[in-house]
Amino acid sequence: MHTDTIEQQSLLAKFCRDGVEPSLEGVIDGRLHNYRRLVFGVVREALSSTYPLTVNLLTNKEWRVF
Amino acid sequence: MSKHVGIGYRKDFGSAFLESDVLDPAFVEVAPENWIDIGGYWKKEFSKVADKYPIYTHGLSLSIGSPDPIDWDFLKKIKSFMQEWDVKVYSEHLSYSKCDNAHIYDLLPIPFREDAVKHISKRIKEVQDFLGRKLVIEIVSYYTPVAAEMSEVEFINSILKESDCELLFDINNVYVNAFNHNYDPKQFIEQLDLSSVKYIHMAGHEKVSDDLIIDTHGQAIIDPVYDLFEFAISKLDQPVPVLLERDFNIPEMEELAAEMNQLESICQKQWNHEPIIAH
Repeated sequence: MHTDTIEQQSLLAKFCRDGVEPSLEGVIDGRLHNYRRLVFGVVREALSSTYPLTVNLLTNKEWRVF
Repeated sequence: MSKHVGIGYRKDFGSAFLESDVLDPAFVEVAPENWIDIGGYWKKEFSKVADKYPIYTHGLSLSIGSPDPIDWDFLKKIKSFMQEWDVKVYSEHLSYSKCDNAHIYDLLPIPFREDAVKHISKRIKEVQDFLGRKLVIEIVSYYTPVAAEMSEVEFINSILKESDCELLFDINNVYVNAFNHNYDPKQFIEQLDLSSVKYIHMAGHEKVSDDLIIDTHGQAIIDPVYDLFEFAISKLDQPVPVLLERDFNIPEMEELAAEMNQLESICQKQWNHEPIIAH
């Protein structure tokens, strides 16, 4: 693949991890954040189902700090 | 028993799935990543399910559209899983979920570009050679295009042509994409290479704003998606298996059975002859 295509893919994936708004070509305004939100949801769900007791012991606010 | 319609098998069903006859699908689909290397109780349960129903698989981690190399060790596990359980179909997503050696755990949109078509087609052929069977690749939902230089339908058709793979026709995703990107889903279907369709997915979704639907698989299928399903299958030359997907807010089995019955009745209406479910 061309370097530019690889870079666009890498920027989107990186945004999902670090939340720094990337300079991507041809995206619809206001839509990108959904990908980061969905990825965050998957990770949070995986953590809370792996550590159910910890989730129960902490308040919602304490759990969100993680 | 359903003739054409299968269901995603989940641990949430517990032993009730096999003990009751509320759900009697034509086949079951699993994410192989959730069942590879299992042992103990769940292996025994899975074995009973595999004895009773044909197993189809729908993978999550192949990341066929990634710039990263293919994970051949992972594919070796997929291959032996398919041999062990006599798996009929290995389907995956036309997207990428791994990049810069990090799993993202979501299906990211690939730039609709010619160099991506070449890259992905080459990888699909390599995977097909390794597995000794065709890959069935799914049209995914997406919320924004990224760096596109061609239309979505041109991108999909080009990959089907160059890679000689098969298509997992996700009708809900076509509906979601048409809504999110403001095009006519029927026109999209008419432009798609339908001769490659091997398998259909049907699911519910969530409308989160006036102009955006998220593909959640957490709700029941809505009527416009049933209508689009009927339109789509009327265009196919032959019957294909149809899966009801439900990944969140799993309802009582009776509710799932009602959705499966509705799908089956549409199939019977359109395909008034014997099914071609692989056994």
